[in-house]
Amino acid sequence: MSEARERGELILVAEDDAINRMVIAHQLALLGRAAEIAGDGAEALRMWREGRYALLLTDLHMPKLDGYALTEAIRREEAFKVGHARRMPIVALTANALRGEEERAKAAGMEEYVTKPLQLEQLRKALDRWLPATGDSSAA
Amino acid sequence: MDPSVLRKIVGDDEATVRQFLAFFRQTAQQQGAEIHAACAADDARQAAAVAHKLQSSSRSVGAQALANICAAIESAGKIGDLAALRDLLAAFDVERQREESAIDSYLRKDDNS
Repeated sequence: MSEARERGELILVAEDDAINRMVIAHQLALLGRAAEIAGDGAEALRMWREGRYALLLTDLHMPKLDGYALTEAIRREEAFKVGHARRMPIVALTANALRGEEERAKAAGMEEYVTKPLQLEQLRKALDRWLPATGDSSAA
Repeated sequence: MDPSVLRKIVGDDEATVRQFLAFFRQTAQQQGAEIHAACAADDARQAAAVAHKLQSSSRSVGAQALANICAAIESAGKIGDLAALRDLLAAFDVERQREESAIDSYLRKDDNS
């Protein structure tokens, strides 16, 4: 985990549903990615403030702090965070594609919006878009 | 439910697929009880919140009919329509039990390859 953090590859996940948490943890492990998982938006914000993450995957509808408010808080604080050189990509994971939700997600500061359930291949593509290639790839 | 939907999400490992199905079965049962309790307490918002979660995991295991009923419960709950909520409960119970039986018979089989 700390190795992935040092390489700048650690992923932060915010998801309140137990099954979805299990699914995303399993998927990320299969794809060879290291991740830390928060059970709601407030916990994710706390972890983000203390840690260094390459990407945030967040559910939109969560108790305490939802995905929109979480994103807005991160975008507000990001500019002042020490040692944080660039804007962290944020990808929204949502169960039902409601009309206007994608626009709202992008307006809040998210880069991409994907609908759950997310197939492994879709997740792989999203990760490849927003993260550097994994360190253990055989490309020399 | 449809294991091929789940395989695209969690991969082809059969033990993993079974583990997720068993977990889904247990969670659906628990969340079903929570939806009933919320309706009994006239708490439409709570019913909507639980139905939202169950809708999402139902789609992950390919239980589309159950997911659609959950979506209807979520919509009714959001606008506080308790009468509509109660009408949906019977169909919800039938569908949830149907999925439970389907998962049970799948898990009883030794080999699904």
